[in-house]
Amino acid sequence: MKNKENKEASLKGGIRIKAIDVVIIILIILSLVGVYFRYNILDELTSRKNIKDYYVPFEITNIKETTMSYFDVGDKVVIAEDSTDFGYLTTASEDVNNALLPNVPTVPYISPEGKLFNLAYPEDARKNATGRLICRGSYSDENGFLLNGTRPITPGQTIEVHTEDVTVVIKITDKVTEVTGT
Amino acid sequence: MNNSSNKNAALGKKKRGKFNFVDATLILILLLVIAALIYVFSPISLIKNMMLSQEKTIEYTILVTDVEIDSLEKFEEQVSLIDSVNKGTLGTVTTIKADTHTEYTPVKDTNKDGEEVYVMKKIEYPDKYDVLITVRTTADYIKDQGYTVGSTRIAVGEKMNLKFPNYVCSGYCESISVF
Repeated sequence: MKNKENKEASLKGGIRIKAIDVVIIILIILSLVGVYFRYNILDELTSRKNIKDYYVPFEITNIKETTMSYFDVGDKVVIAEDSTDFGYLTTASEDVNNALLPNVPTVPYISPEGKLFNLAYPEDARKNATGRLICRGSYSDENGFLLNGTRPITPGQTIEVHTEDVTVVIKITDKVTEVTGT
Repeated sequence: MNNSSNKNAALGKKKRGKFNFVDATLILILLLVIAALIYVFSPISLIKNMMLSQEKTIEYTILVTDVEIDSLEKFEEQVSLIDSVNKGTLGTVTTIKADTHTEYTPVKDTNKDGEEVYVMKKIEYPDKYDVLITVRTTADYIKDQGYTVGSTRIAVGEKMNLKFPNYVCSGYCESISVF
């Protein structure tokens, strides 16, 4: 009789929660907290603890002057391969206001007579250019520069990057230096 | 006995249609987790693109180098240009301009002191042409990411695979202007 009354009561509208359901919900919430902890708090405590801004010097070879005009200080730069944020363009050096500093490239040439010449391209030809990115990352003598504390960026490395208007391959030319006074 | 089985059947019917709060909560949590995963792990996801993208009319140029003279007539104006890889439309060709192909090549010369030296000079190759194609289209624009037409990124320096009605070639984007 009592059993029958209970069944009827539960059918009439009371929310009945089983212990196993509560356990499942708690496990799901705990797993979400775990994921959050893994991707936010642990990273902060470990690889991201020394994240700072660094100047990353780079070079672009064989670039047209018209293409250079599409680069501006403050342009966001992303790595083309996986759209990872790389950094922002800053002035090519402390002494200039432009994002790129052009220079006339020279190429070694051995003449049919066997003489070595260092040939400079004319002014109106394609140029090489140097610039600097401001990137967030960590630096240590053991690991070098790690973009966002995880991805190694080393001198000599070539990387295809995107700005809003341009796709170009850059070559990292030197060690990073910390941005001071920010 | 008969009365009892009738009751059970009635209970079963009622149970089937009952709203189960716990199941609904679990389904809701799962849906939220899936939505969050898609949002977090797909930076250029549809959701973000839909929120940030705006349409802009752009005109861009593509330079195709080393074109044989016989192929010049296959570059047509006022036709729809297609991406030969993903088959998407890239826009309408507004102008075609062909110039003789030039290259910087080491050439023997004499300097002020009368010595024989080599210098880089622009040499014309009369049997080859550089073709500059101007294309006008409506592109999706996202700040800091740039312009895309269909799934093709339009950016200076980007390699572009082109299909005219009677010709396939590839070139590099040279310039972009927004209207």
